[in-house]
Amino acid sequence: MKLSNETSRDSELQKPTDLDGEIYVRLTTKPANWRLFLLLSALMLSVGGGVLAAVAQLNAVPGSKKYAQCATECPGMTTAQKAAAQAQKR
Amino acid sequence: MFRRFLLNTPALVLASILLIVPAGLEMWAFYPDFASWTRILLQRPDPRAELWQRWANHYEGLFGMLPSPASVGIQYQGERAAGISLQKSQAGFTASSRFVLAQSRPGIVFTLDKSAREQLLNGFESRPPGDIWALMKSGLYAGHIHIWNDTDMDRLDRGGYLLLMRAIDTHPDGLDWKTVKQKLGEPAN
Repeated sequence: MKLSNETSRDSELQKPTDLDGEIYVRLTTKPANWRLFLLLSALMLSVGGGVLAAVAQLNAVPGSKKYAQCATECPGMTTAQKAAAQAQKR
Repeated sequence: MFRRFLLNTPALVLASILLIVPAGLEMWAFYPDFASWTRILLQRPDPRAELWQRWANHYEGLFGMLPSPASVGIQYQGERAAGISLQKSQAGFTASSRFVLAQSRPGIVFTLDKSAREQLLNGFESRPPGDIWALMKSGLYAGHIHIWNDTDMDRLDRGGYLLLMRAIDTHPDGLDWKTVKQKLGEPAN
């Protein structure tokens, strides 16, 4: 009787469970290095590029400057506008 | 969890695309600055700065109204932070490439597109220095040259930058000719 119980418990313990399966998968299946490399490269490009872009934008010259206007002979001006601008300049 | 994600090819590819696309857009938008920074890091001495130094010394008359010391910037179209700083001293001009041009506190910055650079630089040493006025004006009129000026009008005036802008037929945004002439001490019409 006792022997039979022990056998029964042993067979229960040896029965594969979902957890066993997961451990088995974890131990036997390693993600290929290229996957990790791809993900880390993409992450570095994205973060590094973002930081550099932010530095460039924060230190941009136009951030503290204003655009100087073309004064008298600008593209799109009519002859009359050019003459008026020239007169004003003189 | 992370290992599972790594093993899930569609999820991994999607995540990589989502990370690489913004990086590509940043690279595209800020390429001129990134290229300049790389050049500054890798190329010593900097041929671009040397070229603009020779150019500024050849056309020193353009900057004749600026006292010494004075600071003028040159940026290639698309550059935001990087640029070339031209420093005027008694001995002439010295040029240096800067990671952050604004740190050299230029009074004005010339922003040049490719066409303007070719016009200004191609064979400049064989051209008479007096040609620079026409070159600058034609570049400005055609929209190949843009000028950014310091917003401090007193500094522009005292530093001679306003006079330089007037000489190449432009004035700061928001300052009309009448005010420019008043500031420069010229008689009104």
